[in-house]
Amino acid sequence: MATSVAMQRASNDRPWVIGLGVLVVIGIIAWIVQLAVGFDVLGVGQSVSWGAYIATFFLLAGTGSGLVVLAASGDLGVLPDFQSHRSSLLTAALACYVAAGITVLMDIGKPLRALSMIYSPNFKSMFVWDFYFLALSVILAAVYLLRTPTKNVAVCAAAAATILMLVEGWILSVSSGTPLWHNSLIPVVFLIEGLLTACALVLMRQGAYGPGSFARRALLFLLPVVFVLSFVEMLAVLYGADAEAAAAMGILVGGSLAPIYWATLVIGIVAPFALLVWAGKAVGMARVAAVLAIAGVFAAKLNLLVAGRILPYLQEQVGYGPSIVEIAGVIGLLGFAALLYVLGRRYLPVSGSV
Amino acid sequence: MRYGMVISRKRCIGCDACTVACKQQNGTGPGVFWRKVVKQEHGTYPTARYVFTPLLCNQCDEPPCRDVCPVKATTKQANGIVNVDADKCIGCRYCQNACPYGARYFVSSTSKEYFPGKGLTPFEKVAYAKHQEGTVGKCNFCESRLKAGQQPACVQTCPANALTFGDLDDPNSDASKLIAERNALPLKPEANTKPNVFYFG
Repeated sequence: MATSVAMQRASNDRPWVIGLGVLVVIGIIAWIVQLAVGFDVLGVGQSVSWGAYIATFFLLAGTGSGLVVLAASGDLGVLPDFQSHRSSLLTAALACYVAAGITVLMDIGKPLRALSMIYSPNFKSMFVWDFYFLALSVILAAVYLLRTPTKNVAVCAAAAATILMLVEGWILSVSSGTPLWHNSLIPVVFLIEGLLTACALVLMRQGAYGPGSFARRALLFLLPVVFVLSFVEMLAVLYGADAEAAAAMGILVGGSLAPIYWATLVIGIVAPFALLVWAGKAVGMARVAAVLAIAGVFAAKLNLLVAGRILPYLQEQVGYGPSIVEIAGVIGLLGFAALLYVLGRRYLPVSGSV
Repeated sequence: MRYGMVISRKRCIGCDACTVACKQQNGTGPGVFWRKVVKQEHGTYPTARYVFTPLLCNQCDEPPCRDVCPVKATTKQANGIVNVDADKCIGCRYCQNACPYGARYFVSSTSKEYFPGKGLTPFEKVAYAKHQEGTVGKCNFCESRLKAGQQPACVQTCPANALTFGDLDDPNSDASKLIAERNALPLKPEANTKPNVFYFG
């Protein structure tokens, strides 16, 4: 009987596996082209040196962390609806974490040297803390998923995931050479965005029922919070003491990046909020809202990365647009995360309840 | 010993001879400028004028690029020069984002010629071999020339004598005297990086 259920499930998954496999192949081809030709095939340049890959990395690592926090909230009795969905949440979290790690490898010039962070780490660098907290989060999420879970493991996994989301923000906010990023609000925004995209993913998967009902309510709370924080940050920087940061923010909200910035706020925050309010629990609308919210967070991170570097010191404004290879790489990475989730759900021997 | 440079913005004529000399000396590829001259228009007619600001690595005493490097590829040497070990650099480009002066450049390719479609010139073939694709590089005050008892290429080339190079720990060096006499100041002192490149005029 169990074998027949497993076979049925494998058969149901097959179209997904094939479709996502195609996306992964596209991503692999993009990476091969990048390795063969060099970084010139990417849209990033000497000033805007972090682009779509790093935005994807932040999105995946933040979402993975948010999912771990939701899983732990279920087991710790905070959000009981999530307890029965622990394995699904943690499998998705692991898939996001692994894909995030691959994203960084794709974005660095010498990927084979990444292990230097193990034998020659500089602990003054937030990048190293990010590396170690990502590794720790992967290990704890895996233990939480595969072994009989305990409350201690749940707490430790959630704590590591939360710190990871903050460290991601600190990577930018401690960067004094980029005044727009040198901002204490960024780690808080990253934390909220991580929880937001995790809830959006749950809503996408479940619709607005069961744990999706909480996810819907959470989005109705978190979307306005992100909206307000965007304005708090905008006003604080525009009227702050740092002229370089104000100039960069000026380009973002009123210059060449303004159409993208305002479109991000409208399509990524206002539209999903309105859909969730007016369409109630309609499954299709809830899913559209979830997709828009995730896309909005990705765009917000990319806007921040680009705006921060668009005005090189004392020089003319530069531009950035992701190249075809970069877009193909991002598609491949998202497909890879989804494929890992599908395969993980099929093959991982998951644990019982706390 | 603390190497430093003093730049007279009044003497600089914006000719970019230093930019070219740097590229010849270090063999940097297209789009990579370890040294460049920023030209800005100040004021309005009839008192409008150009201000030239040569930009290069400031060899900071507290270099943020060193602090953010995840693998200790950037170090501050005893002679004051901030060095990048290309054999260690992982090419994450965090240092580029941390540098307040935009002095660091990523080597995206070592096969990109200056004359498109013509292939690498013999000079480019030799010069590019000094760089590693996928790593970050920057000005090191032409350390190989310093070891040979010469001045950095930009200093030797400047036709307007706008650049003065020397040991800032020696109060009798020309550079130290100029800083004291002309009240030369670093760029962006608020970044607290303690730069060793000073400007006046």
